[in-house]
This record gives sequence, C-alpha cells and structure tokens, in this order.
Amino acid sequence: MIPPWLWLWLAGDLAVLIPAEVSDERYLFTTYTGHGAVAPGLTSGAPYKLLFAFAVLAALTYAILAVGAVSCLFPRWRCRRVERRFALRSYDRGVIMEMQRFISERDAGVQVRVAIDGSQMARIYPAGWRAARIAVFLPLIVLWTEDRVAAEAILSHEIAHHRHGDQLVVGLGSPFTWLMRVWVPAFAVLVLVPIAAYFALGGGLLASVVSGQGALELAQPAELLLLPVTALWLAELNADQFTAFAAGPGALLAALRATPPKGVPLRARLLALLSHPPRRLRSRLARPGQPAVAGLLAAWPAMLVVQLVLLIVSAFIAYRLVGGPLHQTLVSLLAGARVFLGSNRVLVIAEGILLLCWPLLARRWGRLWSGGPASDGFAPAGCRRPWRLYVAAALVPAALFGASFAPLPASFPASSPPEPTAAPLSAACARLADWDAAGGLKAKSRVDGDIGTLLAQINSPTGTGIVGQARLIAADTTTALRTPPPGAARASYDAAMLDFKALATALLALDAKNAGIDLANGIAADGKATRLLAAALASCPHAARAATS
Amino acid sequence: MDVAEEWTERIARRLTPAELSFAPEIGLAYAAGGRRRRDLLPRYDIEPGAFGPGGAAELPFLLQSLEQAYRVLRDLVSSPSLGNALATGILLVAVRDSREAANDRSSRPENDGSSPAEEVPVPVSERLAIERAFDTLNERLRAAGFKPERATELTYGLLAELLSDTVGAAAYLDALAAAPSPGKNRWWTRISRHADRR
Repeated sequence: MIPPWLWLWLAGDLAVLIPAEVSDERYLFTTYTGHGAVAPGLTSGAPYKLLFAFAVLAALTYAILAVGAVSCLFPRWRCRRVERRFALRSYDRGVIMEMQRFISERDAGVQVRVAIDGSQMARIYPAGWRAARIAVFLPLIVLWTEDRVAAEAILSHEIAHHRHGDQLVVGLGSPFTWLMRVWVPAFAVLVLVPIAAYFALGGGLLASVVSGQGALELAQPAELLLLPVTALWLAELNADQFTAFAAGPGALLAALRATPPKGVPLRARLLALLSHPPRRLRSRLARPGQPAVAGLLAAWPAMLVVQLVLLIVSAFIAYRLVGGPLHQTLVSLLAGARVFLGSNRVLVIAEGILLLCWPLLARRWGRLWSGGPASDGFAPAGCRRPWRLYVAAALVPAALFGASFAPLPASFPASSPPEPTAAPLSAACARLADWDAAGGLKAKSRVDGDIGTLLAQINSPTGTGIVGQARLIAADTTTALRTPPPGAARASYDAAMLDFKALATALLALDAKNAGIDLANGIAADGKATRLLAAALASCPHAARAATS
Repeated sequence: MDVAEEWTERIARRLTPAELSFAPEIGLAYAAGGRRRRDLLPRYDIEPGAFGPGGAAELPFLLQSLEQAYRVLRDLVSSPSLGNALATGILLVAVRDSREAANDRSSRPENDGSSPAEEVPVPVSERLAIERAFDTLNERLRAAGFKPERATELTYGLLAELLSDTVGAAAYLDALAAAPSPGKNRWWTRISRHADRR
C-alpha cells in the first residue's frame, strides 16, 4: 500500500546525501584544524577543539548510516551471521510444517527456521537478494498452539515485509537498525559530556560562538535520522496494513494483544521506537479510515517539512546564540530554506512520481520480491486503494516542489560580493599595485600579526599583555582602515578591520562576550579577504612580485 | 535420550503441552548453560521486532525455578523417608490442599463462617520436607512472573513429577545445575573471570 520509501531513502542516501556530507565534513575539518578560513592560532584553543569534536561526531553519524546502508547490500553474509548467532535450523516437527505450509501458500520464497530462543516472536531476514527466511522463536511456537489467529497474523506481518522488499534493510540482524540503536544513545553521551564539561569550566571567550555552531551541528543528526526512522515506521505500518487486509483487523489486534510489552524496560522501549512505531499507533491504524490512509501515504514526504522546521529552529537558535541582528537572522533563515528546498527538488519529484504511479507498480513490486503469481493470493482485492488517495498524498511533494520556486532571499547577508570578472584585468592589477605601494598590504599584515599575538596571549595560561595588545590592535586597525584594498576583497577587508577594532574596544572595556563574537567574526572576514587578495595577486604577476618583494 | 531432554519432555507433557514439540531442545539448551541458557529467556538487549519479546514460553522459566531451588529439591528427592511413592503422593496432595486453603482464607476479606479444609494427618518430618520444597519452588515461580494460582498449580505438578521417580529426578536436577547460569555477559566480567583463572 505504502511506497517503499526505505529504498528511495537508501538510494538517495548513497547517491546524493553521503557524498554531499563527505564534502561538507571535509570543509569543516579543514576549517576547525586551522587549514581553512580560520587562523591556526584561533583553532588551537579549546573552543575550536570542541567544534572539531562535534564535527567528528556528526561525521560518525553519516558514516554509520552509510555503513548501515552499504551492509544491506550483502544479504547472504547477513544470513550466515544471523543463522550462526541464533543457531537457526530447519525442523520437520508438526508445528513447524504447519507454519511452513501457511507461509508457502502466501509466499513461496520464504522458508521457516527455528531458534531455541525465547527473546522474540518471529523475524524476517534475507537469504539472498530475493529469497528470505522467517526465524521462528519459542514464544511463537507456543502461540501457534494457543492462539492460531494471532500467530498467523504475526507470520503474515513478516511475509508482508518480504513482499515489500523490506527484509534487506529491516528484520533480524539488520546492521542498519542495529547501528542506529547503538549510535543514538552513544551520540547523546558523547555530545552531552564535552558540552557540559566546557560550560562547567566557565566557557571562555568564544563560548557564544561555540554554543551557536554547536547547536547547529548537534541538530544535524536529528534532522538526518528523521527520514530513515519515518521510513522504518512506515515499512512496519505497511506490513500491518497488509496483515489487516489479509487476515482482518481483528487478527492484527489479537496479535498485538497476545504479545504485550510486559516487563520491558523503558530504555528498551525508547530504543525500539527507532525502528518500530508505538503499539498504540499500530492498534489505532489497524482499521484506518480513508483520511488516515492518505495521511500514511503522505507521511514520508511531509517529513521533509518537519526536517526543514528543525533546520530553521536550530539555525535560529545558533544565530541568536552568536548574537547576530534579528533582521539578518531572518533573511539568513529564509535563504537557508530556499537552499534546502532547492537541494531536495529531485527527492520531491521522485516522491510525487512514486506516489502517483504506486497503484500501478505495487503488484509488480510485490512480485519482484516474492517471485510468482501464486503469491498474489495474499493481496486481496480490497488491498487496492483508490487513486484519489495517492493523488491527495502527492499534493504534499507537489507543494514542496512549488515552494522551492518561491521568491525567497537568494543569498545570505554576509555572502561574498561578485567576483571581479567584468573589470579589465590590467586596470585591476594597477589599482592593486597602487594599494600595495601605499602600504595597504603591510598594514593588513601588521593587524594579522597583532591578532596572532593576541590569540597566543589568550591561549597562554597567564593571559598577560592582552590590554596592551588591544591598544596596539586599535591603532593598527585605524591605519589599515585608511588604506582599503581595491576590488572584491574590500568588503571583507573592511568588515574584518572593523570587527578587530570593535574587538579592541571590547577588550579594553573587559567585555568578554562581545570580544569573542568580534574576534570570531573578524577572523572569518579576514580569512575571506586574504583568500580574495591572494587570488587577485595571483592573477596579477607584477603586483604579486611587488607584494612578495 | 539425554536425561535433560527426557525429563524436560516429561514436564512439558504434564504442565506445558503447547511447548512439547521443542521440549527436548529446551532441556538440552538449559543444561548446556551459558549463552544457550540465557537465550531461552526473554531479554531486552536486542531489537525486539514488531511484536516484541511477546508472551514468553513457560518451560524455560520452570527449568530456571528448578535450578534455583536446586538445594532444597535435591535434598527432597534424596530423602530416604520419601521412598514410598504412594505415601509421598498423599503428602504432596495434603500440602497443596493446605496451601490452597491458606490462600483462600487470606484472599477473603473476613471470616465468612465456612470451616477450614480438613487436613490429612501425615508424619511431621516428611511433611516439613515437602512443605519446604513446595514453598521454595512456589516462591521462585512467583518471582519468575507466574500468577499465584498458576504458580501453585505448576509447583504441585513439578513436585509430583519429580517425586514420581526420585532417582531420575536427582540426575535431572544435577544436570540442570551442572553448568552455571550466565551472568551479565559484559566485557569487564569476562576480563575479570579471565584474570581470576590466571
């Protein structure tokens, strides 16, 4: 009934998201280790080390999702591992033969294996790309004798996973869900401990910057987990729907009643939510009305909206922590929303097409996995949903697609000015040479040296000489502001010198919070100005020689 | 057939017929101890699947209770005073009836005027031995999560089965208790065990 969002997510994850995140993380690592826009003197302090740790944690989340996704592509290896771990074997006992008969009548591609194990009921796992096996555990064998309807509903749920092609990603021994279960609590601990330690030690000059950037990066994994967790939930709800159609809603409810989560600790229940929806929701959706079905169909595309909201909230918090002006913050958020919607356009188109075509594709998709028309008996006529529900659900991706063309701000307020392509090169080089001759480059170098010294003083255990250094910075930035460079670098240069001047003022007024903000802003702007100046000098050989000399 | 397989099948036939088909394997796994024993019982360190650990099988809990009450039960089945099967059966029925009568009395809010169940007169020492075994096993079963009525029923059934062949029962109890129960299989536990061995 529900399109295989898990597969769409996996394909998008491997093809688009992971490469993009690798590139992003590489940029962050370069920046936080002093090899990028931020001066090495600044990155050697505790704040940037903390930011680097956050970036590593975020990268680990991506890596874990990638490993989980890739490991789904080795079903035979997983089959061997699972059967060894749970000592799964085939038995020819009467009760098992009955179960096998029940399954074969509905899906010829699924075999039963038995575990002498009391930890679960029944779980599907892959035995190859299309073949699958259902691991039957002791409690299900008991239930088969005591409540046949409930036991059959449980097996039907597992068969439905196979017909939907879920077994490669979910089910027994799924590396994907295992990694999520392990990583989420580990991430919480690994993130909370350094943050608590940093702020317990008094934060420091860059506390607001660290907290802002930290808020942004820490929200990333939550945003990232939203789509796969929703896809996992929907795969489970889809299997429930199939069971309800094949055996009746009463059978599904009987199965849920027969397997109460009695005595399950809270931690285990919370972790289970990473891969399975709550039982109350499943019971409620056992007899869904048409609005609920349309809601289920639209749930995954709608998660992009939730993801966008999360992104906006975390970015808003980050901007407020850093202390940016409200108007600039709002413009940045709108520009960010535009980038998000634009970058997800392909995904939104794929969602819309899949929803509109799914009434035609569903049966073929089921045959692809279960491998034969005999299995069609498991999908009764009532399982076909009216087209209008799919069309209604497709309105969500259509709206997102439309929103991606909304006239939102195209650039961030602090974005770099256009590159100097229109001006004749020779004239630009002449202006650059004049600027250098007037002592502009030397003035900038002096300020850079002053900031390096200041950083060393900040990072030194005694912290002496900061006030004197602040006076020196105030004087040198005043000189530097009198000789701004020509061309594209001017805006960044001016911004950097003004920030450094403000830094000096804040330091002299012993205003640590604003000093931290000005220092971080100044270093970022100065790094940009340096890059642009270096590029301009590289395109003017004479000016570059003069500057070098 | 191994004693653990044979006796677990006997117990399943008497008390948990729904679990009869795999009773020998359950007995064997429990007697093996370690991870195979741990896997028989519900646990929450693995992803539970759509239907969770579900309604657990009873048989592994019966074996666990027998193992936990090993000392008392072993003393009981080795007792020379319980050589007469007929007398032992009468004693056991008497103990069960007295326990049920006690339960009934305690569950009534106040005395409703009915007289307590008439107890069968039995020798004191034998009665004490059976009462001790009955109470210990009953307590273990309740601790394992069985409701009081079911726990009493299971206790009676288990003791009746064990006392029907005390020699075989002793061998069975020894088999269940031979391998240690698994502790928490943590890496530090394994390291400390390794260090202890060295």
